[in-house]
Amino acid sequence: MHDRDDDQLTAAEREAFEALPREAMPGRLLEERVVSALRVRGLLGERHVTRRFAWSRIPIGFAAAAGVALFASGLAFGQWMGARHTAQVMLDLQKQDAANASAAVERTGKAYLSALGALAQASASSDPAQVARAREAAESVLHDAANEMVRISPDDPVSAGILKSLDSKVEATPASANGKRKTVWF
Amino acid sequence: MTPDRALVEAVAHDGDETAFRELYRRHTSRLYPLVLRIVGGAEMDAEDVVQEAWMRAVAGMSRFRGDSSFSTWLCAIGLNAARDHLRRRGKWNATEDVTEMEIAAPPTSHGQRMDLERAIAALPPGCRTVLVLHDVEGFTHEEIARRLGIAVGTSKSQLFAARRAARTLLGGNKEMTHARP
Repeated sequence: MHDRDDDQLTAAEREAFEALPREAMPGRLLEERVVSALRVRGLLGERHVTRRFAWSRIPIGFAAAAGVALFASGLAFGQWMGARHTAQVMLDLQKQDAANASAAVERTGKAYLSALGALAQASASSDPAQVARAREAAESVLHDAANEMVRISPDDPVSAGILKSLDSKVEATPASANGKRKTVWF
Repeated sequence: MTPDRALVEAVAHDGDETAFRELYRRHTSRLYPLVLRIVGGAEMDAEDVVQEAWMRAVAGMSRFRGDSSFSTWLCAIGLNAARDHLRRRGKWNATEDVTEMEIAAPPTSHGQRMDLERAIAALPPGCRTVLVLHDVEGFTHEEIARRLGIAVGTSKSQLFAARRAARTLLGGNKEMTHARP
């Protein structure tokens, strides 16, 4: 067997690798494609445009201008108050949504474990074909959950490892060879 | 110049498109060649993977803590996306048997010597990835093992096999050289 630690690059080889370009841009259309895909997924929003009142352009007399200014400033103040309130409500809702989402994950996770427990009990006595179908369904759910975890934490090696091992198993089964799997990858 | 960290926060919190475009233009030129080499030189596949990497990065941007540079973080996501891409096509096997390795040499013009870039593209995906990460990107075997979820010894074996195969592709046991444009 070779001592693989002794396999060193020659100076010319090292130079050849160093000469390979480390930077290159893909086609220019890709940027628009990525931005468009991010917008569709709701990950990028429209830019906010601030409108300013052009007071000096209002072609009315002083009294009318003062009246309009008073009205407009009251309106603007009211909108600001409303917006502040709305922003606070949105913030509260977002916090609530995150808490609800976390609770929902916990509830469904417990339901999943409970269903697996029932499957474990039934596997000794039930029809083997039905048990196999239930196991397949359970693995599918586990795979989808791992897939979502990878989406949430793309650089997390643990989630990626779980997904990888599940994928290896799926690829080895005849069902995947027949194209029965319908999980959408991200 | 606005720091990456500020741009990341603008994208993560406000979905700021201008900030995203700035990040894209700063870091895609680093991500693209890495991904292109790992997928074996297929430009359309590499663009799909770059798009997927950015999608994952933006979705997870609020969790970027700045422990590493944004570029390093993005390239790690790109590596995972490229690996998933190869896996979906049934081409990924990080622990492939390197002694039984089949090398699909791309065609070269009559009399033309194979370029190092083409030789890398012709390697099997698993050992190609290790070679790219080690010899091109400068990762250590420990880093490669952690990133790919393989043993350090496997990384060394894959690198040994990849170099041997690349030398063969480039003409017997001659040294690997890069044809400069």
